[in-house]
Amino acid sequence: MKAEDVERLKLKKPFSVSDIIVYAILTLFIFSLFLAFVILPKNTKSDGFKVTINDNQAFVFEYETGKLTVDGNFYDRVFYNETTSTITVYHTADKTSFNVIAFDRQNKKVWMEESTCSHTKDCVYSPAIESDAGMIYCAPHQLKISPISPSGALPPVIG
Amino acid sequence: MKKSLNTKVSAKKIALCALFSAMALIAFSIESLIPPIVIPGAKIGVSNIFILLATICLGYPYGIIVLIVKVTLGSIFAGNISSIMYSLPAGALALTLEILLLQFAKKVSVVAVSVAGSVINITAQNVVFCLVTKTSAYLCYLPYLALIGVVSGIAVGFAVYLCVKLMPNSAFTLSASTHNKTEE
Repeated sequence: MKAEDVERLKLKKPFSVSDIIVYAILTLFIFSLFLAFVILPKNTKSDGFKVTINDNQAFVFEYETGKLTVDGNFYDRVFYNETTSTITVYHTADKTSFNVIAFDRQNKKVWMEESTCSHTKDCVYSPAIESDAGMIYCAPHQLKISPISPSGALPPVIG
Repeated sequence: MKKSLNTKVSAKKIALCALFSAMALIAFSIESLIPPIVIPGAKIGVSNIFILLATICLGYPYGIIVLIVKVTLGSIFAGNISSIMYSLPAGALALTLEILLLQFAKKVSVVAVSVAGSVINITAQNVVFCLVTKTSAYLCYLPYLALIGVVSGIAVGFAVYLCVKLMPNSAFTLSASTHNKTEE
């Protein structure tokens, strides 16, 4: 960087008139995101949730009936605790790696209660799924919780 | 003589680049201990201060180096290696935009550059995450993440603005001064 460029940079203020163009484009961009993902879509309550691990369906839970359907491959790894309304999924035989999924049948919502994935635990801080939109993903365990829409159709998948 | 001066300066640049990388890594590691703001993945991004500073002070290639070091080593230290998949492309995209703005829109302030970069970074990270995990459901958090990106961009931008004001001119003009010296 040349000396005059440095001087010019140092003299710059935190706001300039040209910034208006940048901020206007960003405002338009954010507004269009709200329009596409918040304002226009009409979300309804989900009927239950399904959990997939490595893209393989592990189990499905239905709020109305309280029915838990576990896939045969995951039968010895999924444990349902009716009193605490939690489902624990173990990833290793020694049970040191796990995810605890909690749900509220009355309010039809599901969230990640506990995880041993990483110390950031993004999945635990993910907002609860209360409608047929949204998802909770635990990247290190490749565990995905997605809602089951009332029509029975799952949200569209991209990629 | 010419050769030794050039070597001296590049060593200085490398040292500064290493310093920025280390600071970015420390900031990233400390920040990863703090729970996300409302939505997963939402952070202030204090480490981005050092990426932008390296880009401005040392030049674009050094900004890219700091970004790569921060993302790869930071993800390993945070125990979440899978985050490299979406942090690196998003960071690269944001840095490209910031470089383009610094290069071609010279009247735009550092704060605006930082805000634009931050919004694009957080948006791209979310989109790449959706592509990697093959689900579009996470896109519903995109508008809120973009808003958080504005706030973090302003915070980072002001920090960079203050650093640029307070840093000695020699930190910026390493290459220019050497060029003059070698000519002499």
